[in-house]
Amino acid sequence: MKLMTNISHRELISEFRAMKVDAVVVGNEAVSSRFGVSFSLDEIRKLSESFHCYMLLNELYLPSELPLVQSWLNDLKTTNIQGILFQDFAIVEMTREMGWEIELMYAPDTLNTNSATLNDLAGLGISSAFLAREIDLETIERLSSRVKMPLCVQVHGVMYMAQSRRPLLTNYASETGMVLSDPSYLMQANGDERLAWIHEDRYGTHVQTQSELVGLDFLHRLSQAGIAWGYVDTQFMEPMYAIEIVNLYMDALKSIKEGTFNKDIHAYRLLLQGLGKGHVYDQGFFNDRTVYKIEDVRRMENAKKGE
Amino acid sequence: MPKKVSEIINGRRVIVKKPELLAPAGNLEKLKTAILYGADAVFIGGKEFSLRSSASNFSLEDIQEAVAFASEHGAHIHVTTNIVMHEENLEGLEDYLKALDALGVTAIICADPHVILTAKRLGLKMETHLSTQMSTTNEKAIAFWQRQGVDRVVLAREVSYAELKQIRVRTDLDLEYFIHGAMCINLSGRCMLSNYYSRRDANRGGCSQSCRWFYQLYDKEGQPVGQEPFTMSSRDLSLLREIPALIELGIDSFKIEGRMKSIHYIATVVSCYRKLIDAYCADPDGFVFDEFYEKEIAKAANRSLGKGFFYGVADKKGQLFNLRDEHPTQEFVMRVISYDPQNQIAKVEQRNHFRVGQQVEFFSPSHPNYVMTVEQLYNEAFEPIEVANHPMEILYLKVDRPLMPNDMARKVRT
Repeated sequence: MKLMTNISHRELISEFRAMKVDAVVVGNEAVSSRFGVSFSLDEIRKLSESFHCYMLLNELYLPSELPLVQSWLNDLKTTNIQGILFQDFAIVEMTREMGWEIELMYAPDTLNTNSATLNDLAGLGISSAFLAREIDLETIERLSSRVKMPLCVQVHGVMYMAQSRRPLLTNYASETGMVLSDPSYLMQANGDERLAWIHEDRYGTHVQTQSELVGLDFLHRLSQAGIAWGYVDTQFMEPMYAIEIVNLYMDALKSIKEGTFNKDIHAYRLLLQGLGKGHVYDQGFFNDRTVYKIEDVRRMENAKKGE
Repeated sequence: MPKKVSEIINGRRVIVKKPELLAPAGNLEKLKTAILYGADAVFIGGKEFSLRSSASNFSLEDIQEAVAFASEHGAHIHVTTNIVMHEENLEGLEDYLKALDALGVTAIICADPHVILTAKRLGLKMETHLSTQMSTTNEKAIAFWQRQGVDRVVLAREVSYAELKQIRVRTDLDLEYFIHGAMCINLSGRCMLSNYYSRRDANRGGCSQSCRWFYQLYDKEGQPVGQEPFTMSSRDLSLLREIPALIELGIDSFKIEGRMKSIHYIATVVSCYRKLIDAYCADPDGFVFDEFYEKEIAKAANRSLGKGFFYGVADKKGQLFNLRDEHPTQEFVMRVISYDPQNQIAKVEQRNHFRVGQQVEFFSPSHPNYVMTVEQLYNEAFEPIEVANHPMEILYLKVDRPLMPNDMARKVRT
């Protein structure tokens, strides 16, 4: 298993290069969402010379936005980028029309939840896939054994929750008279202690967890399951912390390769504990399942009332 | 290129490409009501593979009856197979799709590519429609799915009229567009709020509507900001006045959301849009919008209405900021079973409490609304009574205008 991470501060570039991070994900505010730093085309070109570099074209584009996307695709084709993270099948269609055989990682932030669909997509020109976060580890293992394409699983960082094409903060400010002074805010549901990041960009409003997913304990199993990429999302991290976290996971992956992970994991946990002051950690859905059938929902709610 | 929308016939322009009016139904009674009140097609959910897990979904026997009823009335049935499947949901898919096909279902509505491609692999007669859960927003994505054999795309609600115009000229694939009903505030199929807050999977029908909760905002230092609760609740969509523009654009199907809605809602909303579409198509150049449609829809609306993304990015007017902006609908009180024109007596089925002296409004797919005061009311044994307060009881009342079976009546709000 290799490590893929996004560059959320320019200071991270030289550190990631020194660490020999396996792949980086970059974006530009014109065509990407939830990317961290907006890199220019020239910067991306440069990065693609020294990194395995993936470009985020991870929006669902309206017709009026497609010419800009096409323009970016035309330019990106002249760089050395390794692949594109996408969720709009327009990207598959447009790269096909261009005759550009580039790695296309289907990354809709959810949706990738079963092996049959992923195998079908592999036959339609999709090269790899970013698994949904809301499936548990056992399911990931089962799924991975049946899928014929490289898979990416997020192993650390804030988690995607929702996106709206509406400027929800702007609308709220307009309605209530609140002055929007920060690029991002935290929101908390009444009666719930958890916080979530909420921010706006040209593509609307994005909601992500404040808590960071921590997949350290499951890294070995993910690697054994054949997961190709562990993704560390460095959004909302201070640069030094981001470096420490990425370094930690790089080391952990190395120890898996060398067969010493079971011995080293204790030290990694302690290190993470030390780094984690002021951070909220969460195991996401690795050991958890969602319900949807009415009888299961009622059972879960009754169990909660009994607690 | 898309088909021609209108032609000059006998010196007058008429619409020749009439859109399909597609209505929701959560059970057989609602399905029959939707068709009787003018739907060209109805979409329903089966017991498996469908969102809206708490709706009373259709068994295969129900679907068989639904298809038979629809066929008798020249209508079509679309079955939603629109969950995003997990590993444990894969079993039984092929058999289920074959069973639907054998029953004569016209189309399946799919969110998971595996369902689409399985249906194509099996060579089924049913059409495959790409669900709004896939959030398709442009013509290139449509082209991709058209190459995979999809017969229709249900567009994302984020597509404005201006964007829709661009899509329409660039694709000849059937397009379906929402015209009425509840809206998700977030991109369909991409919202995990319910998964995170309630551990209920929105993409398999378990959504807890966390978007409609109240939230507090904080700055990065943890200080509360904003005097009012922050919410992400959307108004319901209603595009009554926009129907002529959508017809002229040549959109193939107009979709009404609401498989969990009441029979009264379905009858009122479907009937309104049916009459509006028919009136416009018969004489588009002489058409004048009648406020009757808006007044009628308001009798069934349970949330404030808005235009969604039709005119571009949805501003604050498309959202609800009040404390729970839900209105009780005008109460549906009875359904007509039969009418005796000689004695002017209607046989009805009670649906809500009403009494002698109550003003009620009869509405129908086939004649104008009629308001009257209930003066004579009888029970099933034809004994005079003052109050109808038993659900589904059979009653008789004097109505001096002819009524048709399945006409309905609601209380008049004073």
